[in-house]
Amino acid sequence: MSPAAAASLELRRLVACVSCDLLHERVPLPAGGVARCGRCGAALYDERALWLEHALAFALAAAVLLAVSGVFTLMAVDRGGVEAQAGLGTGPAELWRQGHWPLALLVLFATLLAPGVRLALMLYVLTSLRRGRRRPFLVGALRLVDALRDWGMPEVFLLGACVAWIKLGAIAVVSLGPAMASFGALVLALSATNAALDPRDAWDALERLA
Amino acid sequence: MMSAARAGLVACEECGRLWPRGGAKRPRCGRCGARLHARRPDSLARTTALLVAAAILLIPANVLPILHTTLAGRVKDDTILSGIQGFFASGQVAVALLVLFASFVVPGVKIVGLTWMLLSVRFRWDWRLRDRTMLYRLIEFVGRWSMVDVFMISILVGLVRLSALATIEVGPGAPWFAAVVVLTMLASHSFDPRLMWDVREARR
Repeated sequence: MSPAAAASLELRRLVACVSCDLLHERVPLPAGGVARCGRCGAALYDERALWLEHALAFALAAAVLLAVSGVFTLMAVDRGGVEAQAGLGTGPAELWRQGHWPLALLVLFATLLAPGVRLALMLYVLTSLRRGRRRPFLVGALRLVDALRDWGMPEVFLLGACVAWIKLGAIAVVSLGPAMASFGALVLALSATNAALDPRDAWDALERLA
Repeated sequence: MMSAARAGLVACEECGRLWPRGGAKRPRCGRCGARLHARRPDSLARTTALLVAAAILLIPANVLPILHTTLAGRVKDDTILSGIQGFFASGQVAVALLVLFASFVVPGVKIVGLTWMLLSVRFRWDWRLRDRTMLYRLIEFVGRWSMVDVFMISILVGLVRLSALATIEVGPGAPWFAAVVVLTMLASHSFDPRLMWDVREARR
């Protein structure tokens, strides 16, 4: 083995803490175990069997739930027998109509686009890893998945929707639609997906694929 | 036990892989193609700039009204604060506290907290380091919840327009508030907590 290759192998066995940069040697963990930084307690890596299958399953569920949430009614107002229905796009559309297009785009991005694109890319990468297929743009896709992670905020939107429901409930009869339940389930599914998918595991798997 | 930087290694920000600190001008990670840097580029300068901008924008965000309501002939302008007062007045204390927390406490903690961390690096404080790291992680985690008010407004105006019960217009304060949230999120992304630990390493 060349010295460069040997050095590279040694470095693969090391992990640096993201919070305090302390170097650690990778040690085998028991199933379900989490390795934490000895100095500041941040999580370093973990040992989870079937993480790929779990992440894939939850990502699929989340994708379906997101699609359902986008299509069905979030909330409806009773106007003397006639129901006025609002969905995920209603808020951004009205913001746009009032001329607040940066806000409209921000809301659309955080509730629909960021989670949606991230899930689509995640499914692309995870299915490729599972099948051992080297499809194009896998590296770029995984990088985008990591980048978009903090910009999807469906759980915050859900809370905002509930506050709006309470606020409007004072002057009208407002009922919750099926999309509220599916959106709530989406938040849970997305949580589970993020818990199952450790980016470092994905990068290791991607490297083994190449 | 030493930091990666002291060992002459650089960890890739995106995929975690370690590389030796090379002589290349602008090295890239061999695994994922991301730019390699020992610490987040211009971390102190960028974070400071973003925090100052966020602090300045807090003024229009709170002074300018975020909602303009016309209901049964009555016209009302609401700032974030008056909206919270409205919730308290109508007995919805839980909601009032929630919006107060999300719109004031969280952004406040973020700005003050990140400022404290910036100062600790600038003036080389080596005090309660682990607490500061925990605070950083908390700030990263909780930052997005300030967006509650923005999402609430978006649903509210959409639903009210459909129902034609009243007329609610989004006020000029709303985009400034959204900007404050986004800027503080960017600020915590650009701050590198490892800088705080570098201070301790330098003392050893």
